[in-house]
Amino acid sequence: MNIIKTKKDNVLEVKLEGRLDTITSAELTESLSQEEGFTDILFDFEKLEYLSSSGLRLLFSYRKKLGGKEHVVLTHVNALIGEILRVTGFVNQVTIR
Amino acid sequence: MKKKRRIPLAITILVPVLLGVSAVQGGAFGASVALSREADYNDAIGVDKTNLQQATWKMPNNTMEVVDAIKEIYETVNPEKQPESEEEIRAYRTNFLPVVNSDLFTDFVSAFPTETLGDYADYATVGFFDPPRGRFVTVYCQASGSIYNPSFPGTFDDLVLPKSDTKGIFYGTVWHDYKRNEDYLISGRAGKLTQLDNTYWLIRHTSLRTVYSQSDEFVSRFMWVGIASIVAMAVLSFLAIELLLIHPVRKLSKTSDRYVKAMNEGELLDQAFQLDKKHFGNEITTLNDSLYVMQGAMLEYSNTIRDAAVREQKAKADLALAEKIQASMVPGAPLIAEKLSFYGKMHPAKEVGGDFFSYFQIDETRYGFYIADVSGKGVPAALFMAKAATVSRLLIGDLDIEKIGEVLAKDNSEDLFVTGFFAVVDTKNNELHYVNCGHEPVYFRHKGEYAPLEEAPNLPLGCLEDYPYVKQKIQLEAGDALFLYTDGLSEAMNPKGDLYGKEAILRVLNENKAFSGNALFSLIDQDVASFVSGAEQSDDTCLLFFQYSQEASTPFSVDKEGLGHVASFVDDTLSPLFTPDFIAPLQVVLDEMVSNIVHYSNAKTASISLSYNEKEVNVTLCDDGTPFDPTAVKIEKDEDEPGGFGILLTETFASSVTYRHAKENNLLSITMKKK
Repeated sequence: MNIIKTKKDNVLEVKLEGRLDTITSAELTESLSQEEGFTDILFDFEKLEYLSSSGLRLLFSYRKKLGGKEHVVLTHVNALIGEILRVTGFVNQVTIR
Repeated sequence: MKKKRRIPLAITILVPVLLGVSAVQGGAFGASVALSREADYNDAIGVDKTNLQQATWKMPNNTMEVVDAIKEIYETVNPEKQPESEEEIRAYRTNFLPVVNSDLFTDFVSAFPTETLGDYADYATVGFFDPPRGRFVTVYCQASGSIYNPSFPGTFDDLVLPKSDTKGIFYGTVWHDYKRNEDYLISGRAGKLTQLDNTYWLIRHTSLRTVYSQSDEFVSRFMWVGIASIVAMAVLSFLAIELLLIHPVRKLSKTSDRYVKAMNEGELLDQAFQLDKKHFGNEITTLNDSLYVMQGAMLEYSNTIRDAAVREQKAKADLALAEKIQASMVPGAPLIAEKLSFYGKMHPAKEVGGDFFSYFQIDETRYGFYIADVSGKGVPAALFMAKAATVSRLLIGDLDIEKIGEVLAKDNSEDLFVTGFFAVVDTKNNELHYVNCGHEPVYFRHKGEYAPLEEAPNLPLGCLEDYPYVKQKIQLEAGDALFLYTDGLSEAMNPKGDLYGKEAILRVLNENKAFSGNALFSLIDQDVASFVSGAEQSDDTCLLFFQYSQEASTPFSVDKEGLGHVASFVDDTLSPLFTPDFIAPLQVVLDEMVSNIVHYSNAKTASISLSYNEKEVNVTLCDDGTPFDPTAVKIEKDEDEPGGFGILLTETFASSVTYRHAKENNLLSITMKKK
């Protein structure tokens, strides 16, 4: 999985390419832990195939950390990911654009 | 064995014992005789012995005259030797008759003391010595009367052992009785001499005492003989018991020890016990003979057993080899080809059996498979199975069941027969051609449900050389499957004698319809095992599973690498046939389920197998870890620590999820259907 991180003001923009599964969630967690000083996080899922429950847990950890659904933003969510978010109730925990 | 005269041991022991006893009694008898003799003597004497010392004799006044008169005649006659014949004695004694018949002698006799008789001496003799000739010459003896009396006046005796001591005790002369021709020993103790003057002597005789002395000697001799007998008999008894009883028993005991010791060291002696040359024929020697015979029999028996064991070993080895050969006649691995797969399992009840199955590719598009069961069990069934399997393999291509039946019916001396299901599947037109020859029903999974395949009844193979077998045909769809078995499965018996039965087979198949191949076999095995609950498998069993789907499988390591391997395996296998839209949700589901295994199962081995066709994918995950049913996980709606998303997602995207635990394995089936 490719991770492209861009920081603009208080917003950390993360572009993900590939699959956010058990293995890559660990990679991503490691990668994001190096970043500091942002209040919002934006995940661009344009090139992400799917995410698994470990990916969801990662999203949820930022949701808790940043203190509100408006601080965790997901863009270019595909149908499968949308379904995953819907089934698990994550649609209400994050902001989807 | 030589027949010997038997002398029972009891007699062997009894005889010396009886002899000993009689010897003891003889001794006792001798002693009692001696005692009675002494009693007789005392009765005869009639007086206390102490009177002997007190008695005194008063000799007649004319004693010396009578002695002189006899002495005068004796010296006149001057005998040179002892008269021997009767005439000589008479002639000699006649010389003294004038004195004997004289008044002097008559007076002398009448005055002779008679009180001595019956007192302490029997009679008294008056006489004189003739020292130059070594004679004692009798003048008068109270017992005199007959001319033959040895004490007739003038008779003399040679002094054989003259001994005298200062006290005048006279010993050792021999008093000869001419008439009875016996010597009387005069005991010095009994005969007391009184010196009348220098020449003449009076002797007091005690003839009974003489007898007593003799009887004393007799009795003591008798007693010694008795004692000697006792000792001899004791020695004899001891020797007899030692020789006949103790020695042989000791010898037997030693031999037994040697025999047992050798046996413990693994050697069976055949010459430990020897036939006794000195065969006394009693129980001990009989026992020895029996042991001698026994050691031979033991060796023979041991050899027989050893031979039997060797034969059995060889037979077992042969059977084991036969089992290997038979096992090699059925496919050893699944056949997985494009569009279809075959799995088989053979489990003979004995080392070899009569069940068999096979599957193989006939040509580019066709595959043949069959399952069959030869009547009977063991080696005969196995031999016929070899023939049937070979014939079937050669003739299945054209599904020429008639020919197979003809070959098997010919030269079928034991009237064995084969029930079987024979089929050919053609992937070109998806046709399955099949014949059921008196075999168990075959279960057909179509649209996900098992049901008995429609089958026309036919005779088993081997019964008739020409029989018109009814062949049938169905059109297969992707995902269809067939389950075939032999009656070892339907007739698996529990301890109560109930059979597993066809209904149970159909039930277990539908309960586990999500599983295929070896996973299905282990689920069926588990169900049968719980039914028979430990009872021994009674019949051979073969199972065959045919699935009209493509298959692929791989083991994976229980770690992060395993996760990656599963994801790429699924991608690689399915991408030619399925779009990423179909594969992605499957990957989501598999990521959840496989990471469960990797993180929580503690499994050592795990594998994934896919069976798929254009319509659906069936995934089976197998691991040997802690039993864990992911479908039973409660979904937690905890906002702080959300969990259970894995199963939520799995249930969302999978058409069906089935969990089983069989044979220490977690089995998880996930089916994804195309929308």
